[in-house]
Amino acid sequence: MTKQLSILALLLSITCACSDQRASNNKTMANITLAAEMSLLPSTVWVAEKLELFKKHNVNLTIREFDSGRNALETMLKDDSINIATVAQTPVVFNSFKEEPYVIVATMAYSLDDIKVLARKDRGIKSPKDLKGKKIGATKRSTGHYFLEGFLEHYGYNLSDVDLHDVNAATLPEKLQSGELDAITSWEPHIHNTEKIMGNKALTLLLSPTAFRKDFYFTVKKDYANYASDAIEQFLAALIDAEKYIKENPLESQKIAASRINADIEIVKQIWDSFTFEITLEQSILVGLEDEALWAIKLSKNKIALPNYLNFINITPLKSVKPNGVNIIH
Amino acid sequence: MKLAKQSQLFIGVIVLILLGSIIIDFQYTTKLNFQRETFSKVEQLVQGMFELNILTNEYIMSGTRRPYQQWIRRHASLVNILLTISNRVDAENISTTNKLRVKLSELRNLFTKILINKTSDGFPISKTNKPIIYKLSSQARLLSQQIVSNVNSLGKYTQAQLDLTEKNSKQILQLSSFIIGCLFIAVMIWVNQVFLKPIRQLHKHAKTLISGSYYSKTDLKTNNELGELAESYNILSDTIWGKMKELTRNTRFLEKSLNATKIAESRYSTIFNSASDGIVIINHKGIIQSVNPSAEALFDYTSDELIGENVAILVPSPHKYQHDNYLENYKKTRKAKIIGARRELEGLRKDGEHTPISLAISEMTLEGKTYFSGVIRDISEEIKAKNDLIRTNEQLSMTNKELEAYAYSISHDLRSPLRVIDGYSMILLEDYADELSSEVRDYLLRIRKGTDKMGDLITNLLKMSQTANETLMIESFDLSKIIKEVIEQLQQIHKNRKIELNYLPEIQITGDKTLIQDVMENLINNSVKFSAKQAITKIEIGSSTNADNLQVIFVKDNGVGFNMAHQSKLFQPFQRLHKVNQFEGSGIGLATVHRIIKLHKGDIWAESEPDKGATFYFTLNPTLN
Repeated sequence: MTKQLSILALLLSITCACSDQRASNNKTMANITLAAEMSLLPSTVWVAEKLELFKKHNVNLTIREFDSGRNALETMLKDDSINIATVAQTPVVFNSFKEEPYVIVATMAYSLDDIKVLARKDRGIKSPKDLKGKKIGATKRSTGHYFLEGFLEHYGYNLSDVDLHDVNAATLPEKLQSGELDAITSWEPHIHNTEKIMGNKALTLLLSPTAFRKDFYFTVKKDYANYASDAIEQFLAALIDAEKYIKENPLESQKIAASRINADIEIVKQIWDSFTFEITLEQSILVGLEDEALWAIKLSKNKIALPNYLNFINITPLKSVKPNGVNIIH
Repeated sequence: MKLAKQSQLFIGVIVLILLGSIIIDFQYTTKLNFQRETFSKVEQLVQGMFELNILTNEYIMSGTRRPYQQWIRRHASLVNILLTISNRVDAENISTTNKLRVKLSELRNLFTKILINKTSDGFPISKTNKPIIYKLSSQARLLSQQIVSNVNSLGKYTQAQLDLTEKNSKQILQLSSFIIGCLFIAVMIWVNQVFLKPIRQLHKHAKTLISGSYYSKTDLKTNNELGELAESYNILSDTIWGKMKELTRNTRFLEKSLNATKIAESRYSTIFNSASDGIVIINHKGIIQSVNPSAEALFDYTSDELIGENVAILVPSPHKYQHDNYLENYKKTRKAKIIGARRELEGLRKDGEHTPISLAISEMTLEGKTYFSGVIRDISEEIKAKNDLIRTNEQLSMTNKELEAYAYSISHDLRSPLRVIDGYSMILLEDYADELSSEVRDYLLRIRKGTDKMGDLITNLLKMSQTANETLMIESFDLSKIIKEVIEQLQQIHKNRKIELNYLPEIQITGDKTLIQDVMENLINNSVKFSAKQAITKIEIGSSTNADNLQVIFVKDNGVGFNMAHQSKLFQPFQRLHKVNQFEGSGIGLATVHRIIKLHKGDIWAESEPDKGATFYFTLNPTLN
C-alpha cells in the first residue's frame, strides 16, 4: 500500500515538475563596477541597490559616483576597473566618431520634455520668436545646444541669429537671475531650480513644439560585453525588477532616489514624471543617435563619416532577459 | 478481496488514468505550442514586412548604411522564418509558402536595384535617379502588400489549425474531467462501502461497548482487514466482559476488605484513643508519627507538639542521647534490649519531671516501612503501692519477731511457776502421801499431769518460736540414720504396739540436720499416733524425684488419714483435724514442720483419705548451699 502511494506521489511530483517551466537560477556571483552619474536618471540602479535586487541576481555591484554621464563614460573608456557606465545620448554621440570601443546594452530611461528654454520676461521674451538677437546661455556640445538649434530652426532662424553663450549647466540659473543672460536652455533639475529662485512670474517657459526624446543608456566596453554576457544579463535582470517596482511604487522610489543622490524630495516629486524608467532597446535610439551625430558632424566642420550605430548596440543580454524589451529591427 | 489488494488495484487504475491524462496533455500541449509558434512566426512575417518598408523608406531618405544593413539582416531573418513555416504547414499550404519565398526574393531584388541606382551612400538622392528609385520603392511597397496578403491567408490557416487543436484540447480536457469526476464518485462509493460503512458500524459497536454493553457483538462480516478488525472487536468485548466480571468480583472483595479495614481502623482508632496506656508510634528514624490522648496526658504534651519530633524528647538523660544509637544498633543487629519485652524506666514530661513508666515496644512493618509502637503505662501508683507493701512487710516482720520474742519470753517465764506447781505437788504426794486422801492424791496427780502437759506445750511453743529465728546449718547427711534413731526411741515408748517400718537404707539429703531431725520426729510420731488403732502400724519412708528433678521425701502410714477438704488447716498452728479425745496433741507439730521446710525454701504437702492412711511429702531447696 505504502509502495503504491509512493509511486502515485512520484508521478504527481513529476507532473508538477513538468508543468513548472521556470529554470533554476544557477548563475555565479558577478562582480561589476558601475560608473554612475549622481542624478535621477539611474533611478533603477538606486532602487535595485536599496532593495538588494543585485544580490538577489548574484551581482556584487560597486558604484563609483560621477557628476555627469560624460565623465562616467570617459572614465570607463580609460579605466579597466569600470565595467558599465551610465550616460546620456550626447556624450555617446561625441565619443562615437573615433572608434567603437563601447556598446549600449540598454536604455535606462528617456525623457520627452526634459529640455526647455527659460527666458526673462523683462527682456521682452514672450514667445520663441522674441529670442532673436538675445543672449542665450547653453552648454556647448550638450543636448541643450543640440535642442536649441532644432528649436530655433523650427521657428525659422538658426543659432547665428542669437548671441549664444557657452555656460556650464550648473551656473545657468544664477547667470539668468543676474541678468547676464536673457534666456537659457537646460534640463532638470536646473529648470526647476531657476524657477525656484526667480519665480514663475518673471520667466517665460518655452517648450519644444515637437516631441524631443532624450535617451540615457547603460554602456559597456565591447570586450567586456563579449566575455561577460552573463554578468550583464544578471545586472539587467536586477534593473528590470527595479523598473517593475518603480512603476508599482512611484512614491517609495522617489524617496529612495532622492535619499541616494541627496536631493530635495519635493523637487524630485515635481520632475519625476519627466522621465520614463524603462530598460529597453528601441529602434528610435538609432534614429536619435544618427540625428544628433549629423548635428555633431556639422558642428565640427570636419568631414567625418556618420557612424553605423548598429555597431554601438549589443542586443544579446537584454534579449536574453527581456525579449519584448528589444524593438530594434534585426 | 482484502483492502490492501483493493487499494493496490484502485491505485493502479488511478496511476493508469493519470499517466494517460499526462500523455494526452503532453501531446496536446506540444501540438498547441507548435501551432502557436507557427502562428507567432506568421505574425513575425507581417511585422517583418512592415519593418522592411520602414527601413526601405529610411534608406531612401537617409542613404546611410545602417538601414541597409538592418534591411538585409531583417530580410534574411524573414526568409528563415518562412522556411520554418514551410516545414510546418501541410501540402495544401506549401504552394503559398513557395509563392512567398519567390516574392521575398523579388523584394530583395527590388531593394538591390534601389541600392544600385543610388550613386553613393549619402543624402539627398540626385535628380537623375530619383524617379527610378521612387518607382522601385513603389513596386517594393506593392510587393510587400502582396506578401502581407499571402501571409495573412497563411495566418488564417494556422489560426484555424490552432482553433481546431484548442477545441480538441478543450474536449479532451472535458472528457478527462468527466472521467476524473466519475472516478471520484466511484472512489466515494468505494470508500463509503468498503471503509465508511463498516467503520460506522464499528463505531456504533464501539459506542455500545463504551455505554457498558460489553457482551454485545458486531455482526460485521467482510472478507478484509475491517472484518478482521470486527472479529478483534468481538474478542476484545469478550475479554472486556470477562475482565469486567473479574473486576466486579475484585471490587466486591475490595469493598469488603475496605469495610473490614474501616472497621479495623475504627477499632484501632477506638483502642488507640481510648487506651488507658499511652501509645507512641515512631518511624525507623525515631520520629514520632502519632500519639494517643493517654500519652499526651502522661507526658503533658499535645499531639501537635510531639508529631514530627524525635522520640528522645520523651526520654530523660542519659538515654535521651543514646536513643538514636539504640535504633541504629537494632536495625543492624536486630537484637533489641527492650523490643518485645516490658521494661520499667523513666519518661520525661514536658515540665522536665521524670515519671516512672512501664514500656513495651513492638516492631511493625507498614507498606515496606518499619515502625515501632511503644505502649507506655504510668506505674507511679504501682511503684508507690509496692513500696508501701515492702514497708508493711518489714513492719509485719518486725512485729512477728517481737511476738516470737514475746512468746519465747512468756514460754520461758511460764516454766518457772509450772515447775513450782509440779515441785510442790510432788512434795505433797511424796511427803504427805499418808495424810492425803486418795481423792486429793488423785487431784495432785492430775495437777502434775496437767503441768507435765503444759510443760510439753511450752517446749513445743519454744521450739516453734525458736525455729523462726534459727540460723540454718546446712550440710549433707544420711537421713536413714535419723529415721532409725527416731524409730528406736518410739519403739521404746510404744513397746506394746506392732510397728512395721520400711525405709531405704541410705537417703542422702542436704539441710539443717537438727531441724530435719525435728521434721522426721514429728512426721513419724504423727504416723505412729494416728495409726494407733491399727493392729499393725505400717510406716514407709522413702525418696523419689519429681517433675522438676527435685528430691521428694515421703512418710506414708496406714492410719486414720484425713479429709483432703481440710488440708488447708493442716499446717496452721493449733489447728487439729481430729478431736483431742481421739488423738492427743498440741496442734503445733505440723506447724513447726511447715516452718522448718519453708526455712529450707522447700515445699510440704499431704495426700490422704479418711481411714486409708496419709502420706506426707516434702522437698528441700538443693541450692541452699
